[in-house]
Amino acid sequence: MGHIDNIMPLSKVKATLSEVVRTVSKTGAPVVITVDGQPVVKLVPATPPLRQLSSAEVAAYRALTHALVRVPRKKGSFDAVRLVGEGRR
Amino acid sequence: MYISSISPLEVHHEQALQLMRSIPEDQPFVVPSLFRLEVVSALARRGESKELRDTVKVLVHGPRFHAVPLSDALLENAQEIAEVAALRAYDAVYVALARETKAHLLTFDREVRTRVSRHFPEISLGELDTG
Repeated sequence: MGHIDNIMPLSKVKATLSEVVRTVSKTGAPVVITVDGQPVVKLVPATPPLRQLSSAEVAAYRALTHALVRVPRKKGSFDAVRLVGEGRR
Repeated sequence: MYISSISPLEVHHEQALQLMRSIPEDQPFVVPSLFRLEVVSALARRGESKELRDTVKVLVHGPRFHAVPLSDALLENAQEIAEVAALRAYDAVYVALARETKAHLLTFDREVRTRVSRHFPEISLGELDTG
Protein backbone atom coordinates (compact mmCIF):
# COMPACT_ATOMS: atom_id res chain seq x y z
CA MET A 1 0.00 0.00 0.00
CA GLY A 2 1.41 3.39 -0.95
CA HIS A 3 1.44 6.50 1.19
CA ILE A 4 -1.87 8.32 1.63
CA ASP A 5 -1.67 12.02 2.51
CA ASN A 6 -4.17 13.75 4.77
CA ILE A 7 -4.69 16.37 2.06
CA MET A 8 -4.95 15.18 -1.54
CA PRO A 9 -5.95 16.74 -4.85
CA LEU A 10 -9.01 15.27 -6.51
CA SER A 11 -6.95 14.02 -9.45
CA LYS A 12 -4.80 11.89 -7.13
CA VAL A 13 -7.85 10.62 -5.21
CA LYS A 14 -9.48 9.52 -8.47
CA ALA A 15 -6.38 7.55 -9.38
CA THR A 16 -6.10 5.84 -5.97
CA LEU A 17 -9.66 5.84 -4.63
CA SER A 18 -9.76 2.21 -3.48
CA GLU A 19 -6.54 2.64 -1.53
CA VAL A 20 -7.72 5.93 -0.04
CA VAL A 21 -10.97 4.36 1.13
CA ARG A 22 -9.15 1.37 2.66
CA THR A 23 -6.73 3.62 4.51
CA VAL A 24 -9.36 6.01 5.85
CA SER A 25 -11.50 3.08 6.95
CA LYS A 26 -8.57 1.36 8.68
CA THR A 27 -6.90 4.33 10.35
CA GLY A 28 -9.88 6.59 10.94
CA ALA A 29 -7.77 9.54 9.82
CA PRO A 30 -9.74 11.82 7.47
CA VAL A 31 -8.50 12.84 4.04
CA VAL A 32 -9.27 16.33 2.78
CA ILE A 33 -9.78 16.49 -0.97
CA THR A 34 -8.76 19.67 -2.77
CA VAL A 35 -9.90 21.10 -6.09
CA ASP A 36 -7.71 23.79 -7.64
CA GLY A 37 -5.73 23.79 -4.41
CA GLN A 38 -8.74 24.55 -2.23
CA PRO A 39 -10.10 22.06 0.34
CA VAL A 40 -13.67 21.16 -0.66
CA VAL A 41 -14.51 17.71 0.72
CA LYS A 42 -13.42 15.64 3.73
CA LEU A 43 -13.50 11.85 3.49
CA VAL A 44 -14.13 10.25 6.89
CA PRO A 45 -15.05 6.70 7.96
CA ALA A 46 -18.77 6.07 8.41
CA THR A 47 -17.91 4.56 11.76
CA PRO A 48 -14.51 5.35 13.30
CA PRO A 49 -12.43 2.20 13.89
CA LEU A 50 -12.47 0.84 17.41
CA ARG A 51 -9.01 1.13 18.87
CA GLN A 52 -7.12 0.91 22.15
CA LEU A 53 -6.36 4.17 23.91
CA SER A 54 -2.76 5.36 23.93
CA SER A 55 -0.99 5.75 27.26
CA ALA A 56 -1.34 9.54 26.97
CA GLU A 57 -5.10 9.19 26.38
CA VAL A 58 -5.43 6.87 29.38
CA ALA A 59 -3.54 9.36 31.53
CA ALA A 60 -5.77 12.22 30.37
CA TYR A 61 -8.91 10.18 31.06
CA ARG A 62 -7.64 9.23 34.51
CA ALA A 63 -6.72 12.84 35.38
CA LEU A 64 -10.12 14.17 34.31
CA THR A 65 -11.95 11.39 36.15
CA HIS A 66 -9.98 12.18 39.31
CA ALA A 67 -10.79 15.88 38.84
CA LEU A 68 -14.49 15.00 38.92
CA VAL A 69 -14.13 13.84 42.52
CA ARG A 70 -13.30 17.38 43.62
CA VAL A 71 -16.31 18.98 41.92
CA PRO A 72 -19.15 19.74 44.38
CA ARG A 73 -22.32 17.70 43.81
CA LYS A 74 -25.96 18.28 44.40
CA LYS A 75 -27.05 16.73 47.69
CA GLY A 76 -29.48 13.81 47.97
CA SER A 77 -29.39 10.24 46.68
CA PHE A 78 -30.94 9.36 43.34
CA ASP A 79 -31.44 6.51 40.89
CA ALA A 80 -29.77 7.14 37.52
CA VAL A 81 -32.01 4.60 35.74
CA ARG A 82 -35.03 6.59 36.81
CA LEU A 83 -33.36 9.93 36.03
CA VAL A 84 -32.46 8.89 32.47
CA GLY A 85 -35.87 7.29 31.99
CA GLU A 86 -37.61 10.50 32.99
CA GLY A 87 -35.42 12.39 30.53
CA ARG A 88 -36.73 10.20 27.71
CA ARG A 89 -40.38 11.05 28.26
CA MET B 1 -24.05 2.94 34.30
CA TYR B 2 -21.70 5.82 33.57
CA ILE B 3 -23.79 8.36 35.48
CA SER B 4 -23.86 5.95 38.43
CA SER B 5 -20.09 5.55 38.33
CA ILE B 6 -19.39 9.29 38.52
CA SER B 7 -22.10 10.11 41.07
CA PRO B 8 -21.25 9.18 44.69
CA LEU B 9 -24.85 9.68 45.78
CA GLU B 10 -26.34 7.44 43.11
CA VAL B 11 -27.86 4.23 44.47
CA HIS B 12 -25.68 1.90 42.34
CA HIS B 13 -22.53 4.01 42.55
CA GLU B 14 -20.16 1.56 44.23
CA GLN B 15 -21.14 -1.31 41.96
CA ALA B 16 -20.90 0.87 38.85
CA LEU B 17 -17.51 2.15 39.92
CA GLN B 18 -16.22 -1.37 40.47
CA LEU B 19 -17.52 -2.48 37.10
CA MET B 20 -16.06 0.48 35.24
CA ARG B 21 -12.72 -0.05 36.98
CA SER B 22 -12.73 -3.74 36.05
CA ILE B 23 -12.48 -2.81 32.39
CA PRO B 24 -8.93 -2.03 31.20
CA GLU B 25 -8.47 1.69 30.87
CA ASP B 26 -7.17 1.41 27.33
CA GLN B 27 -10.39 -0.26 26.19
CA PRO B 28 -13.07 2.12 24.92
CA PHE B 29 -16.72 1.86 25.86
CA VAL B 30 -18.85 1.53 22.73
CA VAL B 31 -21.81 3.90 22.94
CA PRO B 32 -24.36 5.32 20.53
CA SER B 33 -23.74 9.01 19.82
CA LEU B 34 -26.98 9.58 21.71
CA PHE B 35 -25.14 8.59 24.91
CA ARG B 36 -23.36 11.93 25.24
CA LEU B 37 -26.61 13.83 25.00
CA GLU B 38 -28.32 11.57 27.53
CA VAL B 39 -25.51 11.91 30.08
CA VAL B 40 -25.35 15.69 29.89
CA SER B 41 -29.13 15.98 29.86
CA ALA B 42 -29.48 13.78 32.94
CA LEU B 43 -26.85 15.77 34.85
CA ALA B 44 -28.59 19.02 33.92
CA ARG B 45 -31.97 17.65 35.02
CA ARG B 46 -30.40 16.54 38.27
CA GLY B 47 -29.25 20.12 38.78
CA GLU B 48 -25.53 19.39 38.76
CA SER B 49 -23.14 22.31 38.29
CA LYS B 50 -21.82 23.63 35.00
CA GLU B 51 -18.33 22.75 36.21
CA LEU B 52 -19.33 19.12 36.55
CA ARG B 53 -21.18 19.05 33.23
CA ASP B 54 -18.29 20.69 31.39
CA THR B 55 -15.81 18.17 32.76
CA VAL B 56 -18.09 15.27 31.90
CA LYS B 57 -18.60 16.66 28.40
CA VAL B 58 -14.85 16.55 27.81
CA LEU B 59 -14.74 12.98 29.11
CA VAL B 60 -17.62 11.61 27.05
CA HIS B 61 -16.29 13.26 23.89
CA GLY B 62 -12.89 11.71 24.50
CA PRO B 63 -11.50 8.43 23.13
CA ARG B 64 -12.62 6.34 26.14
CA PHE B 65 -16.10 6.52 24.64
CA HIS B 66 -16.29 5.18 21.11
CA ALA B 67 -19.43 6.88 19.82
CA VAL B 68 -21.24 5.15 16.96
CA PRO B 69 -23.49 7.37 14.83
CA LEU B 70 -27.20 6.59 14.66
CA SER B 71 -27.08 5.17 11.15
CA ASP B 72 -30.09 3.87 9.26
CA ALA B 73 -28.79 0.32 9.78
CA LEU B 74 -28.47 0.76 13.54
CA LEU B 75 -31.93 2.27 13.78
CA GLU B 76 -33.42 -0.56 11.71
CA ASN B 77 -31.85 -3.09 14.06
CA ALA B 78 -33.12 -1.11 17.03
CA GLN B 79 -36.59 -1.10 15.54
CA GLU B 80 -36.56 -4.89 15.21
CA ILE B 81 -35.32 -5.23 18.79
CA ALA B 82 -37.92 -2.80 20.09
CA GLU B 83 -40.67 -4.81 18.37
CA VAL B 84 -39.48 -8.22 19.51
CA ALA B 85 -38.65 -7.32 23.11
CA ALA B 86 -41.13 -4.45 23.56
CA LEU B 87 -38.33 -2.13 24.59
CA ARG B 88 -38.38 1.64 24.64
CA ALA B 89 -36.84 3.26 21.56
CA TYR B 90 -33.78 4.64 23.36
CA ASP B 91 -33.09 1.35 25.13
CA ALA B 92 -33.43 -0.55 21.86
CA VAL B 93 -30.65 1.57 20.31
CA TYR B 94 -28.22 0.56 23.08
CA VAL B 95 -29.26 -3.09 22.77
CA ALA B 96 -28.87 -3.01 18.98
CA LEU B 97 -25.38 -1.59 19.32
CA ALA B 98 -24.39 -4.26 21.85
CA ARG B 99 -25.68 -6.94 19.48
CA GLU B 100 -23.93 -5.46 16.44
CA THR B 101 -20.58 -5.07 18.16
CA LYS B 102 -20.84 -8.21 20.32
CA ALA B 103 -20.10 -6.01 23.33
CA HIS B 104 -21.36 -6.49 26.88
CA LEU B 105 -24.48 -4.47 27.59
CA LEU B 106 -23.87 -2.54 30.79
CA THR B 107 -27.10 -1.40 32.41
CA PHE B 108 -28.75 -1.42 35.81
CA ASP B 109 -32.18 -1.17 34.22
CA ARG B 110 -33.90 -4.35 35.42
CA GLU B 111 -36.62 -4.20 32.77
CA VAL B 112 -34.07 -3.97 29.97
CA ARG B 113 -32.00 -6.78 31.45
CA THR B 114 -35.03 -9.03 31.81
CA ARG B 115 -36.33 -8.43 28.29
CA VAL B 116 -32.92 -8.75 26.66
CA SER B 117 -32.09 -11.99 28.44
CA ARG B 118 -35.49 -13.39 27.44
CA HIS B 119 -35.43 -12.38 23.77
CA PHE B 120 -31.74 -11.96 22.95
CA PRO B 121 -29.82 -14.44 25.10
CA GLU B 122 -26.77 -14.04 22.84
CA ILE B 123 -26.22 -10.55 24.28
CA SER B 124 -23.99 -10.62 27.36
CA LEU B 125 -25.33 -8.64 30.28
CA GLY B 126 -22.65 -9.46 32.82
CA GLU B 127 -23.30 -10.28 36.45
CA LEU B 128 -24.87 -7.40 38.33
CA ASP B 129 -26.77 -7.06 41.55
CA THR B 130 -29.65 -4.93 40.32
CA GLY B 131 -31.74 -5.28 43.41
